[in-house]
Amino acid sequence: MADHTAAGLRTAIKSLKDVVAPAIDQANPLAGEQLRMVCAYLALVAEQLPHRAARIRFELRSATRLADSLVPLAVACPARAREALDAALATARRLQAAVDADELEIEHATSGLNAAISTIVRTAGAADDATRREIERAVVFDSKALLDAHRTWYAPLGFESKSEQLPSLAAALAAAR
Amino acid sequence: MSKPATPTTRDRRDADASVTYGFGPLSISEPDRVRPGKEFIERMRTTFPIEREMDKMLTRKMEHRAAPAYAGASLERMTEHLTAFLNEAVEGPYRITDQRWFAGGASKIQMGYTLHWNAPGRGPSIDRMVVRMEPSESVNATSRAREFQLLKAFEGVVPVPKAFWVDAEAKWFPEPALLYSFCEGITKPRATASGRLAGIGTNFGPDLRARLAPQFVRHLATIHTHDRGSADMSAFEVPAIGSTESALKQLGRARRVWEEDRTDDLALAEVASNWLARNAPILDKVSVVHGDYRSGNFLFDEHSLEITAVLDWERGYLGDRHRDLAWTANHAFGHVAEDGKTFLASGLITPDELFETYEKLSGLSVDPARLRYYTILNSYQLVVSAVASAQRVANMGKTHQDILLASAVPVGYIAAEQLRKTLEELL
Repeated sequence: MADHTAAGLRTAIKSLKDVVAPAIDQANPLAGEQLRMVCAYLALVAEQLPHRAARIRFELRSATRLADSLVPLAVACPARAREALDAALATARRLQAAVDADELEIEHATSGLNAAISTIVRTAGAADDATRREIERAVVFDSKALLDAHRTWYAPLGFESKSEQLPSLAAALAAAR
Repeated sequence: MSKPATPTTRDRRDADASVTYGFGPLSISEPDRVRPGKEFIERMRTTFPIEREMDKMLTRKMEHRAAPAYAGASLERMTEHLTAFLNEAVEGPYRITDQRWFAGGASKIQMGYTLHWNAPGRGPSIDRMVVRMEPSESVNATSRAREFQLLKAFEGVVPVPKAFWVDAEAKWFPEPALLYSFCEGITKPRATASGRLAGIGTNFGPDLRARLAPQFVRHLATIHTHDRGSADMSAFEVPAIGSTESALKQLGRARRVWEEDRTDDLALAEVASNWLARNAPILDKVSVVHGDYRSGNFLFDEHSLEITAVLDWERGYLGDRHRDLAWTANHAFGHVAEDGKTFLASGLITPDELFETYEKLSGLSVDPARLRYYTILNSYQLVVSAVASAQRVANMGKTHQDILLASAVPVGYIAAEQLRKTLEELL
């Protein structure tokens, strides 16, 4: 049976706009403002729902790529930080290879890997200046694809002043391959 | 007997790391953040030394974090708290009428009301008022005492609401609250669809911005050059001129909030934090910093086109004027003009015109190096507020504006990209 969740969300939005909105007390601007935001957020979810699985995989891939680039530099960081990175990276690689991996497991692995990466950046101060700089530059360089994906995902909410300059969601989530 | 091994450089690094970096993701777990214990709260306090009043607010936030989520807005309940407060604050009989919620603010609960009372020095009066209160956890854990003192200090100096009372310790209200006069005016043209979220990105249009921009800059120059004189600023600390104390304490506050609030790690934020710690500028003059000076945080009269009130002083502190200048000019709060290329700071004025006019009006210099530092600190702060705090508070259902906070998360990613671009040039 087909999944009609996105269509269901759109009917919810229609109901809120057509039936609920006119019934709101005009003297309660907070309620009116929040209803508009609720509709906008539900529309975002309806639009991006089909891409959720791709996004989860992309975030794992993106974190793995950054972690891979940090491994040779992390030798200058404290042992505890290196070990945490190695362990999180091993889990991430295993899940990347598993086509039927559970989404929640992937999200936990991504989260763990991001925490390990952050620790490496924090402890980079213990490394020599050149290594610290290389670590920081790697993060800055690699963050572009991740931020592009986040911004493209949320672009329908209307905060992007030049949303036409962002990649398509499909292109953004295909990055880091 | 074997001789103890001489510690290697790496051993020393590891030993140092257990002290210096022990607060990081290696030792903080999600339960620490969701249900912070005394030990965790104390660790945050000692790791990030910040101003006393800000420490008090952040500590309070964490002590209350595990308390039940926001129970929903009720004008009746709010009126009960207000009545209890006014019974103490007002002499003689009074009446409260016309209670209503205000929209627009992202971080505080605001109820409008009319007070019929015998005002000291004025006699029988009817005043439109506002009570502004923290929700059970705010996206910005800020001080009502500071806000009250700043409104008092700037009464008659720049247009501000008249502050009447403050319940700084939440003795009468469930959370700290400020009570001030209602000011007439609007934050954005009625016709525009822009600026829906807290006035961010408001497009005033060419005619209106030509009228508002000079006032906007003049008021900022006045705030930064105002002599605090005998004003009660007891909730503030005066940072040392000629030192990096001010910048580092502001950075410390943002870092502490990042530790306490984030739901996910973002390595770029750590790079920014490292850079900011290494490059803190020296303070050359102590100014009152408004802390959130931008479109959406001032009112204007739509007929006279005069600015009628500068609002939202909750982030105010004593420190470096460049923090405000960089905030006002931040990419997140402006938009591109009709020509499709000229950026307008806060939708009002180009950054170059802003700084040039400000220098003329204030007599103070705008230092590009300090401006760059605070541009980075502000973008970092936006990432902390939107990606960490807004997400955390919305997830816990702690405010009357959870949907607004959830919707604000992308503002943090836009700021993160600005941060990334700037750091790319510097590293």
